[in-house]
Amino acid sequence: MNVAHRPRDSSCHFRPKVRKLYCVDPQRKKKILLVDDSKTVLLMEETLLRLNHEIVKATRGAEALRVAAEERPDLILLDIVMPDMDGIETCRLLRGMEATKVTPIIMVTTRSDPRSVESAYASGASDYLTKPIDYQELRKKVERHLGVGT
Amino acid sequence: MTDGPDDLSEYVRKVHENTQKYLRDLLAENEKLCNLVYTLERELDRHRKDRLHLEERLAAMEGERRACLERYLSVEEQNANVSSLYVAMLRLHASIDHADVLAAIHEIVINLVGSEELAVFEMNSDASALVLSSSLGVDTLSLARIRPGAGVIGECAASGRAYLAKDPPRAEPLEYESALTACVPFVVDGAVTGVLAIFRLLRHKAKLEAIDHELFALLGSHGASALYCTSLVQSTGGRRSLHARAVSEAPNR
Repeated sequence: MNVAHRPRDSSCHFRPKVRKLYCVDPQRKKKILLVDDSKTVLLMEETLLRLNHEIVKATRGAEALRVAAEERPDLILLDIVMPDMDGIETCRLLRGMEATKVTPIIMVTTRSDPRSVESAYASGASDYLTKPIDYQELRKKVERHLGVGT
Repeated sequence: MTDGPDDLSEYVRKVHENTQKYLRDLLAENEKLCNLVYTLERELDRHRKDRLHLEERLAAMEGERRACLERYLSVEEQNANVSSLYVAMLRLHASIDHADVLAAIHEIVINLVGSEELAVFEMNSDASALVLSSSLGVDTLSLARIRPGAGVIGECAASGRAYLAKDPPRAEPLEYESALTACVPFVVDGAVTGVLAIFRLLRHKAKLEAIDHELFALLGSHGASALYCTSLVQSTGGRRSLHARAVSEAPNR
């Protein structure tokens, strides 16, 4: 049957454009690695994201490298200011690892000066987010990099 | 001769008859078309009404969708705010170690409020001075000891009322208080036990939000009781004595 002459179903020609709400099938939960030396930030990020994602955490750069290799997360939220190994160095090393070569890495930091932003992107970060965390912004960036939601 | 007057009149009569038949057919066709036009006009009218109805329904649904989206965003914001308060509360009461509680207050101010310049004062035993317990990004010498009533921080301790930079100061700001954004008294059972002073906000944080005021209220009450409890634990010998007492007071088995 010619598509052009196919009778229109009167019950379904009205289709308003509806924005999809943020909900992910629990069967397909994506794994996010949270890296921050602050328990407050880890707890905050976990509280905001755990409903729709599987969360793994690390409090140091070296620990982040080990967890990333073992868990192979779909996305990494990485703090810049950390003791021992900072987020910039951690990001550089993560980019050199097979498991996280192309994993989206969002830098989360209190630093918003152009130099910090520039060095974060130069180290291989995919995106940048400033603290205090704005939930809408966090959600949008996580959705965008995970390819879920709208 | 065949084309006589009779033939002519017969011809005229036939033409007349044909014309009349043609006219009747035309009138009949016209009537049919009129009916069809009438039917189509009615149908068009019905379609117009249907379309109007659908447009109204679409507008109503669009309005409903927008309202739902706004409600969803507002619930999301509330959820994030509640999460902030929940996290702050959990962090404040997560330890009985004085240094841990001070570290939690620092983390809350840095990461949830958005300032890397802060000072935490505790009242000394005879309530004659605020003593600097911990600080970040400020001159510790000038803030080491503050008399209640002196400057904005001292006034905050003396009155037990929080100060926000947007409000007119209730006392003359001292030199080191020029960058003060907020001053929150720690109050336990009506008594001021200390003060949290927050100076410059992070460069990308333009002003305090509604949730920051909620966090200040939480820090002023729960931060105060957490600091007070940890001071009590410290004065009775610290965490080890608490564990020892728990063991000694446990019923014998």
